Amino acid sequence: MGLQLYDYVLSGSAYKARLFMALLGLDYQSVSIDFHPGGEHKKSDFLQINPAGTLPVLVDGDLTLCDTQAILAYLAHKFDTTNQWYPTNDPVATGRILQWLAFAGRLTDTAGAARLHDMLGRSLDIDAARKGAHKALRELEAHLTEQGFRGHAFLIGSKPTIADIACFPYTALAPDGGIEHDDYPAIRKWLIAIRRLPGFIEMPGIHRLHDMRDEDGG
Amino acid sequence: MNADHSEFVEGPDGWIPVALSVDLPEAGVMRAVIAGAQPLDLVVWRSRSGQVSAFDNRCPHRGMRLSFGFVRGERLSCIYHGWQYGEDGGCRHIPAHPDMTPPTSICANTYACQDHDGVVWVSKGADNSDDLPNFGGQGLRSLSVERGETVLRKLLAETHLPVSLTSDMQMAEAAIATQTRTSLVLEARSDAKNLRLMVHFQKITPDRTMLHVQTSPELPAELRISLSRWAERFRWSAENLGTMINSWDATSQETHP
Ligand SMILES: N[C@@H](CCC(=O)N[C@@H](CS)C(=O)NCC(=O)O)C(=O)O
Ligand code: FES
Repeated sequence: MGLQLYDYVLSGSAYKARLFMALLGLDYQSVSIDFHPGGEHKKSDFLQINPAGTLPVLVDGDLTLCDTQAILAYLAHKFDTTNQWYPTNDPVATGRILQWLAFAGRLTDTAGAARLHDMLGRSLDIDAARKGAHKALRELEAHLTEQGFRGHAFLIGSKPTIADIACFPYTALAPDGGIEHDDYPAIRKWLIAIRRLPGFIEMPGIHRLHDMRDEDGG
Repeated sequence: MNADHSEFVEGPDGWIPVALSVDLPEAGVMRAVIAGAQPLDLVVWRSRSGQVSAFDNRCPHRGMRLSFGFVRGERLSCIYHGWQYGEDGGCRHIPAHPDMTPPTSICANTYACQDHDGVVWVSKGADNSDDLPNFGGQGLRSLSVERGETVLRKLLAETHLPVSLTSDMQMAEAAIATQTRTSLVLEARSDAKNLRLMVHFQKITPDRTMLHVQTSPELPAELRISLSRWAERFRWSAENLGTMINSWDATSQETHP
C-alpha cells in the first residue's frame, strides 16, 4: 500500500504535503475530510487517526504522522535521493531548517488563524492574529533580504528546502486573512521563486505564474 | 506633527517614490498606497519589456483590485474576468468577446510613472522627470514604519550608521548631506570613503511611512547586511519611542515613589 494523505482542499497545511509530494514526483491516495462545514476532523472516526483533530495526516504502511512539518521531514528523508530538501548530513543546515519549521507553526497560528476567521467565520481575536502575522512576516522579510545580499533565493541557501515549503502556504495566503504583502518586497520575490519551481501545483488562492505563458500575444 | 498633517489637505503633488526598481522585476505587479486628502490605492506594474505603469487599483469592469492581476507581455490582465489593459490604461482585450475591439471608453485611470535612479516614482500630475533626483544609489531595501515622515526625518538626523566591513558594531555618526521634498541623504565616514544612504519617503498614512533605502553603489554583502540590520534597529527605535519614554517614567515612579 502506498502513501495516503488525509486531505482538505482549502487547508494550507495539507497543501504543504500535496505541494511537496508533487515537487518530489510522488503518487499518493488522497482521503478527503469535510473540514468545513462538516467538521469531520473533530469527530470520533477521524480522532482515532489523529487525536489532535488537525489536518493533514500522512499514512505510510504502519506509520501515521499527524504533524505537517514532520510529514515534510519524513518524505524528504525517505524519497529525496538528491538530499537537497533536507540535508541532514549538514548540521548547520539541519539546525536552520528546524528553526524555520518551528517558525512555520507561528505562521499557521497567526496568518492561518486570520484566514480561518475571514474565510470560514472562525471566532478568534483577529487583531492579535494579524498583529502576530505581521510580526512574523517582518522577521521573514529581514531574513530574505539578507539572503538576497548573499545571492540566495531561498531560506537556507540557493536551493529550496522543506523550510521553504513549510513557510510558503500561509505566507502566500496571508491576504485571505487581511494581511497584505505590500510591505514585504523580499517576501514577494521569494513567493515568485517558489511558484517557479518545476512541478509546482496550485491551491485555491495560490496560483501558477501566469506570466510564464504568453500564448495570447500581449 | 501638525505640519505633517497639513500636507494632506491638498493631496500629494509631484513625484512620490513607491518602490525600489529592483523590487519590481519584469512582469511584476504590486500595490502602492499614498496618503492624501483622497488617499491613492494604486497598482504599479512592469511589462515584459520593462515599462512601468501605475493605475487606480480598480478594474473598470467590476472593480476587482488590479494588483491581484498578472502581466501578459505588455498588458496587465485582471484576475477576475481577464480583461487586459495596455500601459496607457486602455482596455485591449475582453476574453468573453475575443473578436471585439474594446471601445476606447473602457480605460483604467492612469498616473505618471517613471523608473528613475533605481526608484519607481508615481505622480498625479507632473510628468517631467527633470524634477527627479539623481543620487546614483543602489537599492538596499524598502520597509514600512508605524511613524509619520516628520518624526522619521528628525530621528534620521541623529542616527549612527555601521561603516565597517568586519563588524556591525563599528558605528559612525551620520550627517544629513541633502534633504528634498521626497528624500534625505545621509553621509558617514567609513574605512575607505564616505558611505551614503539615500532614504526616500512614501507616506502611507499620516502615521505610517514606507522608507525606500538606497546606498552608495557596490558595497560588499557584509556591509549591506549590516545596513539592513541598522534599518531594523532604526525602525524599532522609531516605533518604540513613546513606549520607551512611558515605561521609563513608570519604572522611575516605581523606584522613587
Ligand atoms: N500542528 C499542526 C497544525 C495543522 C493545522 O492547524 N491544520 C489545520 C488545517 S489547515 C487544522 O486542522 N485545524 C483544526 C481546526 O482549526 O479545527 C500541523 O502542523 O500539522
Ligand atoms: S473585474 Fe476585472 S475583468 Fe472583471
